Amino acid sequence: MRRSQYVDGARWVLVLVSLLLVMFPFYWMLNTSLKPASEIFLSPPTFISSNWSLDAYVTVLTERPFARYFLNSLVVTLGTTVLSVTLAAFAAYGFTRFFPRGATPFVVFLLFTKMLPETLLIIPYFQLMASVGLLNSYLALILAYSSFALPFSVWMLIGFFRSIPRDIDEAAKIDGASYLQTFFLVILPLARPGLVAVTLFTFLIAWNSYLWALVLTTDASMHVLSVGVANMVGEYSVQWNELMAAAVIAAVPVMLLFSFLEKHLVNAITSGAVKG
Amino acid sequence: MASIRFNNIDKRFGKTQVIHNVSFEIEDGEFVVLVGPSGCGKSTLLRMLAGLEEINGGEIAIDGKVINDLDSKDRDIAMVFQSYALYPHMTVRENMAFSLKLRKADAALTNQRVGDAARILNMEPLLERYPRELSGGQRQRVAMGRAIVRDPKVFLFDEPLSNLDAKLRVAMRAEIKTLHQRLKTTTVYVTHDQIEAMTMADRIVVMRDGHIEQIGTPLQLFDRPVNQFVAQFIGSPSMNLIEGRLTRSKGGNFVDALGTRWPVGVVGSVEDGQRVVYGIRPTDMRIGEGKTGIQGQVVVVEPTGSETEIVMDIGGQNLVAVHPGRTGAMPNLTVGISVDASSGHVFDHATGVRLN
Repeated sequence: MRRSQYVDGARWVLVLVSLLLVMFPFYWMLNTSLKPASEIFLSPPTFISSNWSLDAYVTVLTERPFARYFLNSLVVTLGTTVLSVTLAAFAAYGFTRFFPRGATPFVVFLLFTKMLPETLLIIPYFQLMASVGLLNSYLALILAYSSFALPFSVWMLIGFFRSIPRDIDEAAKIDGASYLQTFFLVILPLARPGLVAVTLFTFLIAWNSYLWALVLTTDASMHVLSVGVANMVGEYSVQWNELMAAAVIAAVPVMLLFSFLEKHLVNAITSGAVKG
Repeated sequence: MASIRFNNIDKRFGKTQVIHNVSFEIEDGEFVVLVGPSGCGKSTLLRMLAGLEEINGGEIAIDGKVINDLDSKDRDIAMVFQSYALYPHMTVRENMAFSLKLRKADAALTNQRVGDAARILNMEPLLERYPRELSGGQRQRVAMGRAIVRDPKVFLFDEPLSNLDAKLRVAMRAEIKTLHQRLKTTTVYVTHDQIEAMTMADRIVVMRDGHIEQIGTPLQLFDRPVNQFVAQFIGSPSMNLIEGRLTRSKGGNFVDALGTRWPVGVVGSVEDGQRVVYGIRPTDMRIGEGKTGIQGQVVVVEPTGSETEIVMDIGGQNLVAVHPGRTGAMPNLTVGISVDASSGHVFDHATGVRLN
């Protein structure tokens, strides 16, 4: 009895320490964003300040075009997510239902492309987008991000769709459903955990991506949040509280999305199978 | 209600032919069971009727109309799958209403049909539950309800009871049969269990390796199997089969086997002394005291309560007899067996075809 109490206690300490290590950077980011500039490098540092205010946020949103950056990020990310998830879902349905032998070779081929370092593709992508007149457009970023998100998305959804028994498709066919009706009314709802996982993954890739936004958008009005935040690191000085405020603004949508969809993500990771 | 005709049906998977020129008819309102060992083609035939497999040769017609090129939804059939194939994300009500929703049926008709089916199957309290909240038997009833709601011309059942425990299987067998008597819909039922076939069918189609071995009523198949395969497949315990030689004498015909003479009735064109296979059902062997009749030594006694199965060594081969009620037989006891000539079955040794 006593031994298990010590073990439990040790476990709790380990969990709390890990939590502290993970949460501290976020806490410090928030803390710094709320402090005035004069307090940022105080020694000893202040963990809770009576001077906390939203001044840095107001400055970021009014004196810099962060609202525009936020909108750009939102459009590009939502566009990428919708396009990738749609294409991946159709690809997974097609391969698992109509061409099952082709599924594995196709996935291997797709995942092969992930072996290419992204920096290798900068010039070809730039030339490609420039040649079709897509530079400085939302579509350029949406297409580029989708090309990176799709391999993993297709691979993951093929796994999920494979676990849905074919009997269910046949039952739907006998009930009178066409292939598309079966896809939308039967298969997609059953693949929800997988779709959620793919949505979150794609959202993260698109929201956080910095390199491609930097390369494919040169016009300041088309910058996304990641570029906007990076640009706040000045050549001679950095307004750290404003930088942290911008980072918090960039992090909030992802946190909100995860909090809403977290249970589906856990479902996706732990089960990944549907029993008919 | 509808009649079904299978005409010269062939089916290939790649280069392998799995159904060979199968032809038979099912009458309007009949309950026909396709039975046979795994791989005999019974499920494939059912799936071709359902439109889930392509027909490589021949025609299937429902009510005289050839359906080869029709989609499943246009064949007016409903199917109950071995795995139930319920939609896990829909309630029982939604599962049953799905086909009508696809046809854009109005809400009143849908509610009426779902309600009627639920009443017939005693499922009304379950309508708002999800399949994961139901037992195996309940799920099977939902699968049947989904089929009934469609009011089809033909019901198809693909080994629906295989996933159920023995007791539930017996109960569901009776439910399915009662349902058929009530609705009188033409039914094609696939199973590998010959007891299901015997208890449920109006007629049985016995299949092996893509061919039809025999079609007949359960008692026809039981009393006069056309070959050894059907003789051993139908009936439990299986028919005893003994290799011997036919002897024709003034006192009657016999099969000499296992050091003794087994009486048989009239046998067709078989020569005296020809090698044959003698078959006798366990229930046709009468057991008495060891002093008279064919002598056998008891090996195992298996009482089931209402009857007793006795395994005996006769001339070095173990044969099974079923004795009604209880018996005092014990292992190593010598018993006397008697059989009627009319109960004996004679099969050709080389081909297995029935000779009497």
